[in-house]
Amino acid sequence: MAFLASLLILSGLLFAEPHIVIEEAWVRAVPPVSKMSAAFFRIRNTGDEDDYLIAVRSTASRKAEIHTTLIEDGTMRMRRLREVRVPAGEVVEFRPMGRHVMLIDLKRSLREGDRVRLTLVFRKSGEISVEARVRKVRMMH
Amino acid sequence: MRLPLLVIVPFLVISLLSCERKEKFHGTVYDKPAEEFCLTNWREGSERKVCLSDFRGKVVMIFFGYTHCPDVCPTALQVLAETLKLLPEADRGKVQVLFITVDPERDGPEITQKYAEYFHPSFLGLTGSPEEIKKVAKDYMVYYGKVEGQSEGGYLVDHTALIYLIDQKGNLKLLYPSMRQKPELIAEDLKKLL
Repeated sequence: MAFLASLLILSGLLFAEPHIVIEEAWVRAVPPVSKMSAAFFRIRNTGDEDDYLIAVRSTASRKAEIHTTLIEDGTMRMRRLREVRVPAGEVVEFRPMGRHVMLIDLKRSLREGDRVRLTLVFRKSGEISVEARVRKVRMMH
Repeated sequence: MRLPLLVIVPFLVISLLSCERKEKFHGTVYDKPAEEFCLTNWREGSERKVCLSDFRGKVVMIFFGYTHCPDVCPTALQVLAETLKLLPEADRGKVQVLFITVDPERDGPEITQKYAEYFHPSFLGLTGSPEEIKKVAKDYMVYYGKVEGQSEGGYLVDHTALIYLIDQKGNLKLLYPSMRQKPELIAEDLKKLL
């Protein structure tokens, strides 16, 4: 019985895996004098195991970091996140005034309609690339 | 049973009275004289001084930020640009938006102006010496502080992210949190003031 149970658990572990889908990726159009921008998207984990976003790269900037914006008593603070957990069966949003990918040291100015390739690196699922459109619009819901 | 009524009735009376007396705004009413400041702006290749008093007779909207800020500052300036577009064309000239940098070390006059005018051609970007910025920030209760070691893109700046509205008489009339601020609501307030 114990053997069967452990076999079940083991097979569960073997077959459980995260399945990551990136949706609605976009990058903020910024003034040409700005060397920074931000990328936003939704991460959906349709698998049955958690995964972690640990790094991001982009074709538009020399560096990219995972940040979050915190607003406390009207003061805006940005902090770097080392990783973001994407629980099994859940959706994690990166959006203005919240978690975002800071695109540092832009290689060229980003105009509305431009396309940027984002590569999201997950601990278990590895690298996932998506194309993000550069947009000016505010996205606040 | 008696106690709740004792509490509720005076509360209702007070709130009814205050409704009658004051005009309703979406922003938080502050209503104290706005402190004067003179800062540096860049225009057509040269630097010039711009003071708050230059805009007497206009409604002035101010946002403090910095150009290396990828999220909150563009959002706030975008909100202000959309607010202007919601006003009747004749009223747009009666509103002046000022973007004041809290990062004078990196934001010179030209960069600050070019950053601001990207969102709307009428916006002015202002900078100054670290001392001048410190003073205007203090006068407007703006907290700002460098945060080192968070990002490889250089330091970040924590700062107060409020939108200030100064009325045509020079009173700091309304404050808005810049987070999730709706241009429609600011435009409604502006229409009442113009």
